[in-house]
Amino acid sequence: MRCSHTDWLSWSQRGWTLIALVSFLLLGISEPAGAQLADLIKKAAGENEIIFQISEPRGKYSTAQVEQQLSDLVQKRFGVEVNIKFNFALSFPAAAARTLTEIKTGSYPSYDLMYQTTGTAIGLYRENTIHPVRWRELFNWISEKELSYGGQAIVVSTTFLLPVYNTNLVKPGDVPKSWDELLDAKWKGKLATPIYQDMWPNMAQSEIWGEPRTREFLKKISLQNPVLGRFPEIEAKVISGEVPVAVVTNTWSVDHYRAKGAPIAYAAVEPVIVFVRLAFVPKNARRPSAATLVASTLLTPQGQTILADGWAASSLFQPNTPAAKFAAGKKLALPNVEFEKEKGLALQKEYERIILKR
Amino acid sequence: MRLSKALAPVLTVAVLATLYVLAPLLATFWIAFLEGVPGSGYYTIENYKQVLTDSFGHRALWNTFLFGLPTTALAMGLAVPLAWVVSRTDLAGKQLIVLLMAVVLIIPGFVQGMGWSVLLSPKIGLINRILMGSTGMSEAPFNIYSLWGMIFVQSLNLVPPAFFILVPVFLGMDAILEEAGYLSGANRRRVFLRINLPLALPAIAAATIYVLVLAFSLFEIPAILGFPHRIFVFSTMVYVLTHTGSGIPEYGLAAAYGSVLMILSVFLTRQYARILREGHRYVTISGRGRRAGVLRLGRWRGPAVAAVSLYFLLSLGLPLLTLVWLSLIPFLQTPSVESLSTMSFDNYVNLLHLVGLDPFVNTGLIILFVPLAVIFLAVPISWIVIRTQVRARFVMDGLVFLPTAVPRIVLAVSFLYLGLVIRPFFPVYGSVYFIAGAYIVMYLSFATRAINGAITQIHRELEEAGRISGASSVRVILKVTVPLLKPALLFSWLWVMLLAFREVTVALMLNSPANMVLPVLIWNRWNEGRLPEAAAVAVLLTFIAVLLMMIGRKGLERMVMPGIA
Repeated sequence: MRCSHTDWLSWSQRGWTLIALVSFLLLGISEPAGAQLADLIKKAAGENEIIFQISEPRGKYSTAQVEQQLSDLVQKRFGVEVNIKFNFALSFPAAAARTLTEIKTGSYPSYDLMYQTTGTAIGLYRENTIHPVRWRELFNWISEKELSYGGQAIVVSTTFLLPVYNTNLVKPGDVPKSWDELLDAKWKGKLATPIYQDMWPNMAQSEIWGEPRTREFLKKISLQNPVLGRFPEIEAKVISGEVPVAVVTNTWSVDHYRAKGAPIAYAAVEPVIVFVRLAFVPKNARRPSAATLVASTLLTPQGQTILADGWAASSLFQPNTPAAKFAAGKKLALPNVEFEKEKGLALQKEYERIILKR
Repeated sequence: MRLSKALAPVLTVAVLATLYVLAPLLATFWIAFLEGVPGSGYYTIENYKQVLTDSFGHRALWNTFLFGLPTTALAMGLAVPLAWVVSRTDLAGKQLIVLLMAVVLIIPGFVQGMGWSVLLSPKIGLINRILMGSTGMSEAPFNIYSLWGMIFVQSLNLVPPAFFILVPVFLGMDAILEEAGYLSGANRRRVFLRINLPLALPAIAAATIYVLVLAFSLFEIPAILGFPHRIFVFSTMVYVLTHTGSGIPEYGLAAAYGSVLMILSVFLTRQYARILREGHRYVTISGRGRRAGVLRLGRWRGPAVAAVSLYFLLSLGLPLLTLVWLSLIPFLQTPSVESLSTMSFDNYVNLLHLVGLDPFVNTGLIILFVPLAVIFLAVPISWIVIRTQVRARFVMDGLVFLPTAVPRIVLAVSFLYLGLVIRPFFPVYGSVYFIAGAYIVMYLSFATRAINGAITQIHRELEEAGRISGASSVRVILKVTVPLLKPALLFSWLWVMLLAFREVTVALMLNSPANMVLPVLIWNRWNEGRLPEAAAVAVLLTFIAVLLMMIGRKGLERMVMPGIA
């Protein structure tokens, strides 16, 4: 059959029409990222203010100054004025529990943006109470490795946990060189340990210690009659000399106190427990758009500087950061979110019972 | 007085107030049958099964008794003689003693705990180090992190509530009864034992029950001194359950334990009600007679002054000095030449800059609103309980008293949940009025205890005279009863204001970005490891409390200490 010119044109037109139609449909389903971001910015402009749950800054700037720095960064990057109010009234676990309760009862959470560890917020993740954000589609500076909780949260910093000791009370030769040295009889009645056990599931992974060894370790720690407290409390007890050694606490706190002249240092044991700290928007947040913009800025170089200045926090997943330098060459006990999701809560509960002698 | 239309206004207020108190109590039982997060949980009896079988809970219960009973005995052993000496003897400086007692009251318990932990910590405690250094002991003689350490600090802390319940009662005793005793040849000791003490028994019993229930349910000092060393009592156990690090609080189990304490309170309340029913035998203020006079201490003056001074040194002086020291240094350290060089006022200078005005404004709103609301609701309830023959009056009284027995953390959990449920209709959750609403429930019982005891001592004939003259019941209450209740009302108002000023547990549980109050600020500073800043806020809080006391001092003296220049 011969195709006439007219026929060809007709087929050509049909083809282009089909291509245009498909393209139109595709464009309609996957709106360009720029348009999504523009929409987000527009919504954020109407939200004005966010409540950001985070620990208190301890750097050279005051809380108000750090809030302003972050607000200025958001203004500069997105042209939106967002008034940021930090709230550190509750501990991370208490804040997570409060938020979970508020959302589960059908209400909106007190916080618009949260800064938690993968362990403390695992309940929120498990209960599907995190506001979904397409982080990578919206913000091209966020890489795949900076996503967590199934893409719902972003990794903004990492902190390290090690045993710490009072440098006036513990001789250099007695400084623990391994975790197991904490089980030595000489430390009985002379240890402090955290109330919350969200760091130990890191060690319970099979590629680190495994569950049996971690359980055994904590049972023996419990027999050492440790003093209990939150991180800042046990750090204060070590500094004052009330307790010479803390089983585990944040190294960034130690650096902060040492800069003020406190007699405290951390023991170089391995593996180093890593807290991966996330930022995410809880479900039903009243100001999700503004919160999303603020969270995204934390992963910009300027945002990382603010975190470093305020909390001595940086991400080891970013190159050349203090965290990356500290972690280089060390064996790390990083959290595995899926392991935490499956077993983390049950393990935390079990370890809590061991340490509290429940 | 029998139930009649004339009672309707008073009865309505009393019933509504009782229902308001009842709601969170019922919610406690409701939550106790839930597993999981409220709103998405399921009904179960597993929580109560665990209460019966959990050895941890049994241990905490046992510790609660071991802690609560001696604490109460010690607190009452100090409060009764202190109240007597202040109200009935010629001891000098009574106004100052009342002022200092109020200051002890308003210092949050955990702050005293902090102070004593620095003083009597076995490793770094200042007193221990001085004693070991001067005597050569190898082990510290005192360990504040023990059950006895907790008892010691808590009993000092619980003297003021009993003191403020007893002083108006001792002051209001009728001189005629004592004079009759003296005329019969009895000496002062005999008159005290055979006349004054029996007459004061209802008030002493009421104060003892109140202190006992407080001792069973308080959180702050067990949290500071016991929790870190795994000495758990009910309140700290409940705190563990609702602040688990696993992210899902055990509200149901916490509520189940809380309901167990409520049952104990019901038992105690029944005993209290029995004492009240025999109240007419303890009338001291009648239509005749005058208030009892002042007794001379004579050779007992020295020991009395020493005892009062020692009490304030232990309850106020030493902890406060420790706080002042802590507030002037950058981190916790014992006084030394080296640490003296680090002293500065930085923690005070930076305070407003760090925390803003909100905690001060919120605290001001609380102390203005809560006492007025409590007095307004307490007077009708007490009047109905004491003066009428309404059948359910003792049930009403018992219900109002129940929140005292409920660990405040558990009450806070109930409030938290109810606040969330009503949020769409009544968005009070998260506001400072949310905390105020919880405080009204908590402190109504104190006001009713004080006012019950005071009404008991007013003979009915005074009110009957008013009714015979044609006045309505409401008019009689306002014109006859309330003026006679002024000392009790003023003390209740002051007491509730001070309690609300220093309360931390409920405010902590109901804390939100918008309702931070000063005591929670202190707690948060401490939990963030910023002890010097916590101490600075605590010193500031004490200063504000003393200021409040000084402002209300003249009114207090006129109403409470008549005839004292």
